[in-house]
Amino acid sequence: MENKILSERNLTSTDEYTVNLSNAVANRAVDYLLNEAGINLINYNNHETYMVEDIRLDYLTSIIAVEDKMKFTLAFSFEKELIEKIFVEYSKGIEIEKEEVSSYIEETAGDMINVVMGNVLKGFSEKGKFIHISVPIIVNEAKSIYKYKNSKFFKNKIKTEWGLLIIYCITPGEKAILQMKGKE
Amino acid sequence: MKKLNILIVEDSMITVKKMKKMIEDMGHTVVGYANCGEEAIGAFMNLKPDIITMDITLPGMDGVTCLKEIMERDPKALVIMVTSHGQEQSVVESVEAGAKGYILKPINEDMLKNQIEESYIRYGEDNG
Repeated sequence: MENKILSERNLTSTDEYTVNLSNAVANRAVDYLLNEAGINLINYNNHETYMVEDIRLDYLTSIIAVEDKMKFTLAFSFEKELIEKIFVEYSKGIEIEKEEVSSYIEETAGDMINVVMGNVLKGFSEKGKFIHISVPIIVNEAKSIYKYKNSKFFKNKIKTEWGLLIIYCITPGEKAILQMKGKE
Repeated sequence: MKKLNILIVEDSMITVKKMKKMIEDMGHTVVGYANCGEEAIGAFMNLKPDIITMDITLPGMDGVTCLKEIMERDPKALVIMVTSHGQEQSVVESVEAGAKGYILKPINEDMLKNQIEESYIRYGEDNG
């Protein structure tokens, strides 16, 4: 099946790489939700990456910066009920104090993006080349971010029985994290 | 299998707790944890664990650099790298620097047990 975005626009080779990467990340995220968290999907259309003009961060967002063939920023934005359900499944069997729950929910979001991205990069990286992946950062508030300069936003939406996970891939990577954190 | 003392180097506390439970279920002891490379070196020198599990992506000093620092201090240190990444180059460099194995995230209990126990049998103090 052809990428929807590819049929609608003339993409640069960088865009094509990003679309393919975004699709792979979304597919691995779906696999993670199903197999690691036991969460069923309501609607997920394979190979459907959109280019969008703005980003709407939800209840909680985990973000990492990656430097491989190119620099990009990846964000997983979770609806509240979804990340809470993932946390419940992820923390099964371990004791967590009530006051630790909110920070561990954030760590769950950080671990998920780290694992998904890492697993996907195995198939994308060039042999013999170092891939730099930042430690995850967490943004825990809803906000909107708009495109600036030459940045491009790619979006995948995964609808589950517990709410939405929206995946954003942002190129180029420079400054995107600071922008999301509201430092610029 | 001897009861092993294990140091976990990992910046996610929830992952530390998960690994601790898995390791204790195997009958081994987690003697401590460190959430960054600098802390890991101090913990290694103080605790002298049988095995260290070392996350590659850490804040500050990364896991590969930390591994090299530890190997300089004790070339017999038994370190297993933990990574979610298809960061083949990091794993290659880690093995060249003396890591005795690696585990891919998400961590599976059987995989963790195999790496810990096989590494100790092969490279531990009685055989290394």
